[in-house]
Amino acid sequence: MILLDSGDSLFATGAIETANDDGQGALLTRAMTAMGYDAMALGAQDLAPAPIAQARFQEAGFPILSTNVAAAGILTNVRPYLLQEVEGRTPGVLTRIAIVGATNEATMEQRAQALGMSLEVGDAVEAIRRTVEEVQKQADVIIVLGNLSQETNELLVHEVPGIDAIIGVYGSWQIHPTAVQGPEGQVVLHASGTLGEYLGVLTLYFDTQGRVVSFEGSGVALTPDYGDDPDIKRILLHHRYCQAVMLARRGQVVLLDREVWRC
Amino acid sequence: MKVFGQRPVVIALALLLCVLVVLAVACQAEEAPTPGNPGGTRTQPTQEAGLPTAIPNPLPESVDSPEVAFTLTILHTGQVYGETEPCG
Repeated sequence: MILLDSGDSLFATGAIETANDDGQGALLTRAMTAMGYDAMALGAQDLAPAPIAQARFQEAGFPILSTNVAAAGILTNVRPYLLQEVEGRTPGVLTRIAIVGATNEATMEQRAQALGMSLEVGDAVEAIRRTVEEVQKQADVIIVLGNLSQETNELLVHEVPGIDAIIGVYGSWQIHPTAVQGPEGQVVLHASGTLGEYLGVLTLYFDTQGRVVSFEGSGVALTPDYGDDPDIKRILLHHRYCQAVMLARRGQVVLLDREVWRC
Repeated sequence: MKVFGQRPVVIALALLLCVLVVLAVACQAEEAPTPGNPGGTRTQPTQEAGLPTAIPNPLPESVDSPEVAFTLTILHTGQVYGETEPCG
């Protein structure tokens, strides 16, 4: 089992200055690290003014993936792909997985420009094609993790052989797991929606050649029926406390309920 | 005369209708993400990928079928858009 995020997750939309708070994004990176995320794709909304983005990327206990954004020298912990071995259905037998990060070019260029960051943003389809060719001999399964448009995802299916699944789509859509025939077998697309309202759960079934023969999955609504995880709740309360202290130091009035103060 | 007397009311109703249509279109446009406003809206109703090339899921009769050599489960999130909910 692997746990992924398709990006555009760390910072809120809206004015750039809303990210101009050195604590922004810290709660998510801490919580995602504690939850054991394996990787996150780089999206436009994961960028903030350089010192803040650098701090968040360094704190993240998981790699941030993009094969079409060159961030070396500006952002650490960004790499094109992740190779990982996971145990499949047979105990002790490991499956080699390549997770290739993909970034929406249009939104990333606009965000980088607004932040005054000189990132090299390349064509996603061509970058993914090169990376898939590179990792094909090292992996049994290739997953593209990104925030590309639905049209670009479709283009990838038809033009880049070797991909088994594409996780994430740009926009506010939650998409049921759907298979599309690619040049070397079917490719499964799945997107979980926005704002952490749903958890995407997708199980892929492979044959001995590493081709997808079937799949099942859904978006699980994270309703209050699911109890709070004590560790994550502690991280949240600690974060709120620190925010309150920071605001108090700035001379702003802070109102907190007693429960939060006790933490 | 009666017809002329009703004309301002008809015009006012037409104008009101135009305003409502414009507001409805504007609100819908706000929901749709663009490069300048990349989402941040609530999850849209679940949809199929809407791909004309989508193929049926050839679910094996049993996942224990010999055809299945191994499985992989992916849990995933995305587009969380920060710690605060942009829409309030």
